[in-house]
Amino acid sequence: MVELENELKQIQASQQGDHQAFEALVKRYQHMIYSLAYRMTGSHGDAEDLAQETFIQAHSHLSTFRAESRFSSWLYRLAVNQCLNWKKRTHRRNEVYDQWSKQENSVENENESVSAAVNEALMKLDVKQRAAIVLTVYDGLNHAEAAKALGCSETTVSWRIFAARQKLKRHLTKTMKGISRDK
Amino acid sequence: MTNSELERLLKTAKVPGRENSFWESFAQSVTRKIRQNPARPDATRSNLKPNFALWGIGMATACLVIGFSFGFRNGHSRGTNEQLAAARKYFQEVESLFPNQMRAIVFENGEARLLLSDKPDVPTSSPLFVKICSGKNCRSLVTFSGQRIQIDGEAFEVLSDHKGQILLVGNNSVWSSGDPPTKNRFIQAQPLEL
Repeated sequence: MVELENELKQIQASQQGDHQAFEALVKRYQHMIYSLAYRMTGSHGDAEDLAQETFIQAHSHLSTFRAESRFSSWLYRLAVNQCLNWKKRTHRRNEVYDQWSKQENSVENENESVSAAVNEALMKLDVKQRAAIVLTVYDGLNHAEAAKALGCSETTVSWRIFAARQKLKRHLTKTMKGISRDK
Repeated sequence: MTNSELERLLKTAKVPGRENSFWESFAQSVTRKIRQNPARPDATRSNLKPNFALWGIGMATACLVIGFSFGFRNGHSRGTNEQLAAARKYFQEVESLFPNQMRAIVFENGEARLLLSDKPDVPTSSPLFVKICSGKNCRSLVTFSGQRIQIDGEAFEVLSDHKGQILLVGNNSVWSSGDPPTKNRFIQAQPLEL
């Protein structure tokens, strides 16, 4: 409760132009936003850019924030939109694949290669399908909450999850067989 | 692989950690950028040059609509293959003029309407050709997976699955390109081969 009151004060101070107050808000939510961005892009560079862009956008739209909803939900929705509009940048994308291939060549423990395989499979999904999976599986949102964050109907979220699962299963079954063979 | 096995597998992939120094400097780098650019580039652009941008888009759209209307009216009575060829041509012209801005081209009553996003934020994906006939009225459109279209007053989201099937998902009904036509409604949907 006290934390929420503090947060509200920080939001109000940020709306008045207090950069230190906004910095405190960034610190509170940077992990949450960065994780979402990383899941959606598979790249540290893009995740950093996206997270930064989300906070900058949040700052410029702070006057539109109403305390009727939680700041974290409002910020999360902004981040989801940023991720959906994210355009793959070739050099970054190459960097991701380079990282994965390096990981694949050098991984000594199976967990790392499984993580790399999962990331690779996620990156093969259409961005909206990936968002549906990230929001529901990693961030624990139910279909109704995910629909609200994604700005679509629950039915659409269900379809996207269904289609994404099919692709992930197909891709991961093949990859996991390869990993078990290499063990 | 079951859904719960898939979920367990997905959860094994953690977000790689960043050094403490990264987190310490991240918030500062955000506020530094905000201080450096107090007016956002988008806001500046829209405040200073809104009329030029809107006029430009408006003129280009008007020219395209006139051109398309003429072309489509001439080809209105042609078969589906020719309509596909026309749709392909229009798509390529519009996409080259407004990359990643085209949400849909709707062909109806011998005219073509262009639905453009105000920003180049439409994700790159393969275009889809959808033809909808309700009674004797038919219209066709070129759009993408993820876009919303209106059919008889109901909003549908166009989705394409990994097998190339096209789904129209509305709030009250779902239609798949594999479904047989009904008496009152015929919907044909297919990827627009370029």
